[in-house]
Amino acid sequence: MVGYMVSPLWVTAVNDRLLEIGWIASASYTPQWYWALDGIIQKRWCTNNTCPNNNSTWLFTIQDSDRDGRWVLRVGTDTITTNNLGNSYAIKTGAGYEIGYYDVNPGINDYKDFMYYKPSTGWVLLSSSVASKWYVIVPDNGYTVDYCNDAPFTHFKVAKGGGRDLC
Amino acid sequence: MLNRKTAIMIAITIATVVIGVSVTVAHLDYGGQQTSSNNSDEFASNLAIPPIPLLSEYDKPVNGVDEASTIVGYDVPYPTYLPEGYKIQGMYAYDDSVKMYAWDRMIDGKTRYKDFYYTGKGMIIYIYDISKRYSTAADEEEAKATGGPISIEEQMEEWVKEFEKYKAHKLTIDGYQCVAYDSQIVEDAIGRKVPLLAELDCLKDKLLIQIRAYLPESELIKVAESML
Repeated sequence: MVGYMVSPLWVTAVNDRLLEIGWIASASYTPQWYWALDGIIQKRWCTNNTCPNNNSTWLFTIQDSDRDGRWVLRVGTDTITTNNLGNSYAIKTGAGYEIGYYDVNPGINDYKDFMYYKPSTGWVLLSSSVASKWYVIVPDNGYTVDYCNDAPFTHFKVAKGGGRDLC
Repeated sequence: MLNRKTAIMIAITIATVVIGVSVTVAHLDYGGQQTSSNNSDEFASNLAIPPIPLLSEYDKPVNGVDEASTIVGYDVPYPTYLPEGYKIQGMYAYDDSVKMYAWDRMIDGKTRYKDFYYTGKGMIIYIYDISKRYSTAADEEEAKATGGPISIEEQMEEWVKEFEKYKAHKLTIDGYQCVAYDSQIVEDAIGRKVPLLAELDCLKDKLLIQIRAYLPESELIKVAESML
């Protein structure tokens, strides 16, 4: 197995169906989270009135741990199970690694912080700015967390061994 | 008699209408509907697609249908019809499935997902052995615990319901059950107009044949007819 995708925030199934959790950029930098299938946004969360409050955390995962082609997406407290879309290349997607969004300055057009969660070590802070056009993080454990600003959408990916140019 | 100023205004109005009609006609096909190429180009930028390459590190290229058949353990159906100018540009076998890309240009490592499917109207033909969906009894038990497994016939019924909004419908091609919907412009959850690929799924014995492209459904059907 070359590469091993862990809780990817986008995943391409073997048949090229594309699932993604990302955010929509806006002038205020207030993230509006969404999930999309084949580039078509199916649902969004967090409009100006419903964004996480101060010190709140949102988690995001895409999993198909039983490889039945039905993907389970979690955005915040919302869980969505898709129809059978196709299997991933990975034999098993790992559980436990999640991307978190931690808004230290809610409502302020400034920096937002991101975290990932590893059961054995807890939260790891990935300080970043949504204003960045390009940002790559290489945690000590070899996992790469990456996002790129491909306005108006911003895309995430978490991977191990898959190379750095994830965007 | 019209005065000079009124005559000029009328002339400008007529010219504006004529130009407007000409521009509109240029964007219409003979049926009076917007062509899919114009639509997809116009609305593809509204898609939330990461700028990822079409080919992943997991794609294992094979030299032909014989090699693909050996890898997956069944006779891989091969299309004898493709849209005009299209050729099979790549064939990949993985585990129990095969995918083929049909296009009128070459695919390389720089070809992006969006460029292939939307700007370029590329076609994917995906063949999957449904009898190997669950590799072990434990997998099947795990699937049951999460609401599955379901038969492929049930799956096809689900597709029709799930994609009713896209006018999904059942059809029979050479005696085989299929579900299809046409390429179209749809509105996403934030009100953006986006292109949706046409899709045709056919069940041939233990094989599921899926064809997707931003082309008319009739083209997908012709490809399927040449494979079934």
